Amino acid sequence: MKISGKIQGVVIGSLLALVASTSGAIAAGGAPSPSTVSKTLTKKPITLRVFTTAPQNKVSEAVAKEFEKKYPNIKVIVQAADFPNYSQGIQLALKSKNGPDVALAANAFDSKNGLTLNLAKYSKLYGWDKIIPSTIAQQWKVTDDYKTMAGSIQVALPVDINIVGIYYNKSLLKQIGITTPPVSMDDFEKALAAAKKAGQVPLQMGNSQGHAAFLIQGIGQATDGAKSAAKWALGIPGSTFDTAGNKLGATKLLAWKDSGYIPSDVNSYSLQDAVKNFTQGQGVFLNDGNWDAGTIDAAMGDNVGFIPFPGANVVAIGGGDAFQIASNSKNKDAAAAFLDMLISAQAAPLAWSNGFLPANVGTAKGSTSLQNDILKAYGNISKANGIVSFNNNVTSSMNQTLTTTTQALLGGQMSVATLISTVQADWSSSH
Amino acid sequence: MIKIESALSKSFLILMVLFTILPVFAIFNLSLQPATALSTGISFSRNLNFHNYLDAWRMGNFGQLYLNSLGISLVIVPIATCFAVLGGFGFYYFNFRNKKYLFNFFLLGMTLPYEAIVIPLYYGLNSLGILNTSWSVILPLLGGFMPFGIFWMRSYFSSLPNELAEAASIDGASSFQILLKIILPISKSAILSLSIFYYIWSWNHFILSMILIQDATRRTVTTGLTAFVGQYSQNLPLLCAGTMTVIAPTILFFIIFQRHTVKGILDGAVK
Amino acid sequence: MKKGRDSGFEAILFVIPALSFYLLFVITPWISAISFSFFNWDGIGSAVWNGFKNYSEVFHDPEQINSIKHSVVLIGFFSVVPVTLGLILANLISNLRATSLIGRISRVIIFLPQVLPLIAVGIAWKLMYASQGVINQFLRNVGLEESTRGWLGDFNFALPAIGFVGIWLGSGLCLLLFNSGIQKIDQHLFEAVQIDGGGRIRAFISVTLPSLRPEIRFASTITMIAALSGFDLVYVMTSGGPGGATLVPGLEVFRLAFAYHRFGQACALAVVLSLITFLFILLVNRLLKDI
Repeated sequence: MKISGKIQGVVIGSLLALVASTSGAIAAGGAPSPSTVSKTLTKKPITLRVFTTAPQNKVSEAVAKEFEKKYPNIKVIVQAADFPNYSQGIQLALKSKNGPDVALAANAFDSKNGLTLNLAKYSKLYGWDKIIPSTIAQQWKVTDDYKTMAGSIQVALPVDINIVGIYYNKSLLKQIGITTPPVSMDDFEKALAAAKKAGQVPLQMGNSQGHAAFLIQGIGQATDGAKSAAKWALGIPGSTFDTAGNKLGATKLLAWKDSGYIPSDVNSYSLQDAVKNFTQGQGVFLNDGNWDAGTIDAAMGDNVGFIPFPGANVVAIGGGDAFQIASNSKNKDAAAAFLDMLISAQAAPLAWSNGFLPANVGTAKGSTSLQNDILKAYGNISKANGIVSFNNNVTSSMNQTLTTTTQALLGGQMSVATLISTVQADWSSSH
Repeated sequence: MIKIESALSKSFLILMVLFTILPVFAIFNLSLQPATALSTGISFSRNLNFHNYLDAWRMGNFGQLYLNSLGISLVIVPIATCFAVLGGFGFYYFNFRNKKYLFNFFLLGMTLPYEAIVIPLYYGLNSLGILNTSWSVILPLLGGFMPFGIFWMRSYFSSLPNELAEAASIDGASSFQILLKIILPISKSAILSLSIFYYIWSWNHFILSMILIQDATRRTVTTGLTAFVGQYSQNLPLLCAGTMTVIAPTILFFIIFQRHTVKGILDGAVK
Repeated sequence: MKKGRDSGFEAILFVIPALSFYLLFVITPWISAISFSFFNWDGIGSAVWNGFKNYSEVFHDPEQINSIKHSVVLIGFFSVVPVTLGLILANLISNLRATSLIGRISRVIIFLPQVLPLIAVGIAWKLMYASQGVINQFLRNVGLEESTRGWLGDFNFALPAIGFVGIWLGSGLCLLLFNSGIQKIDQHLFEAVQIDGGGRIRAFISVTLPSLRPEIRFASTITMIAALSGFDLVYVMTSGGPGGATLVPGLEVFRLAFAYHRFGQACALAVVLSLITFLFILLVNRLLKDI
């Protein structure tokens, strides 16, 4: 019968297509290395497409203008999306026509799919390792099995440094009777209690996209110390999430919500909403990273300060926006030159003016009190070797897992023990 | 008694109208407030920040989004309507073996959610090389719109008096001539209704463009609005202005064509 | 070859344009999804045969089976409630003239939700459900301050909150459909019930309901399809949160594919979703045939 004949043909056809697409798959053997690298760029008119997230795009756009001045034959188009949308779509974009030449890296391990380059040759050519601090650079170097960081395959170039700490509202802090920002966990809890008593929102936070995980990681690594926390966060086999620090972190997160230190409807709004609330005076403290420094600085000026996460060890969750070059880019050398400009001394003020700490830290000078606070914090943390990469990046699904489990914990649907074991189970499935 | 009943009825109706319009009004109200507005509730102030609309237009690149969506809809609507008319006529006019089987095969498609086919579409369209272009959305929507269109046109044709077609056929007219000269002229209303549905559905479509189009310059109003809202989530009045910018033309379009849309679906539903 | 209206060949010519696009861009991908569903595939490398294990996982993985449960709950909100509400309201306003100005304007406004892009609807309602949004504002103003909460972040209320949007979406359509259907009912049938001594309820059950059967069937089908796809709304309002409380299959398919890189599993769930949709539609139409 006509119809079933068609169906048979279609089934066979699609099975063939499946076999074809899977066997002819793009070099599933990991990130390819470019065959030749050069600092000399083509003189032909070309377009360079840069995909990134907001607010990093402000920096990319500023650098793009400088780049176009230097290379008048090259047009740079910068495209941005917010992080959840970005990370879900970027792999698709890298495979398609009109995809990016330069793309913000969502996750170090995705490069296994071969869609982005191994940048080691460019790194050698431009001397990038001399500029980028190693604790940051190693987060974008993976091992041959693409499961652990701190390896030798460089999948992306970090262009700025993110550290997560605590912003505090100076006038509100004074109002609740505290003269110096907290350094130890005890100080912090005392300050939170005082804020609650004074009728303020002690700790501003938004968890609709899972950012409460910062608190767990902050307390976790401040307790366990950077070295052991970093092992797990880099994916090194043999480490576990089930530590005293992380247990304490999850317990405190829940306890602080129950005591009213964290808003009770924290699951219903996002970190961005929390930032907005904080800048409008709702919140003595805010657990967030320096990527929002630009917005917060513009709104609060001298009234805001930044400190590392309080605790026994001077640590911070640290990472950075890192960029990759697409394997099927037709303008690899131009892309590499753009990356180089992003971390140049010339671009550093462009990063700073948008609130980002440039990876080229050596040349950064703060011009507002908040920027100086951030620089100081960074200095102390890196001296103590206290940078730990984001827990969220340790597997490609960890961000979702942390979101779901923290929401469940805060909603009274999951115990601390279950949260720990669920997170560890996700980690174990890839390490 | 009748007066009370009438008053009661009228109040229920008005309640329903207010309930329906509430979310749209809330967005509109919020769009006129200053960027620092913390509350998302309804409030009235003397200052009407219409500049939010100008800012949103510029920052969200809505002009480009409109062009993209328009491009997609203007291609889909004529082609889909045409195919639906042809197909609907085929099912109405002819008797052939397995007609019912084939018709049900089409109806099956009306229940198929786009989520179920978007992943294979992604790979298939990529190998055709049209991923990340408007065609990647146009072609699947054309396919997806067929079941309803065929159902709709066939239902309508079936309600026409049979003698018209019969008489022309006896006169020696070919089937195509019958469609063109007899059936089409008296089906204008139903065809217009169908075109309007297709226009609205292609304009409102989200999941295909979200997954198949990654290039920001090619986004549609729906995916563009989502990206805009994600990017400027701190400025609620701004994103409300963006949302109003997206729904206002749709509302306008609907009001102009409401007779054909509402009446169309109400009449067509019972066949 | 048969001629005239019996010409199968000519018929197919008319149907070919629609059929080819339908086959190429709807049926073929669906069949591909079915074949993908038997493999483990990360979308990039090679696919490994996995038999029916993916399907077994659909029914055993809490995340996936819960998404299906949530969809069924949403059927209640998106379909059952609007149809019921529509019937009641249509009956209540049946004495109003549809051609009055109020009637015409009301009709346009009430139909509006069906015309708006779901993304915009989601954004509007998300803002209304915010801690400082319209819903809580209303509750505070009527003295129900203790009931206020962050609705979309609450484990117990997030799904009903989304469901309520479904009521908003579907009630207007149902009301209009049923009202228009009621206007077409022959008045003599109502008079017959009155003569028999029956009241309004009797009239409703024995006259109105049976006469509205085609409208009820249509409304149920349309609203049920909306309930079971639900991607746009959930994506923009909660992304499935908090903690998966509002996950629906459409969103979970998306997540399995693009967040977890498990394309085979995503396709298995997608196939199950399409089968469930088909089954429910069939069920509704069978049930309503015999009312």
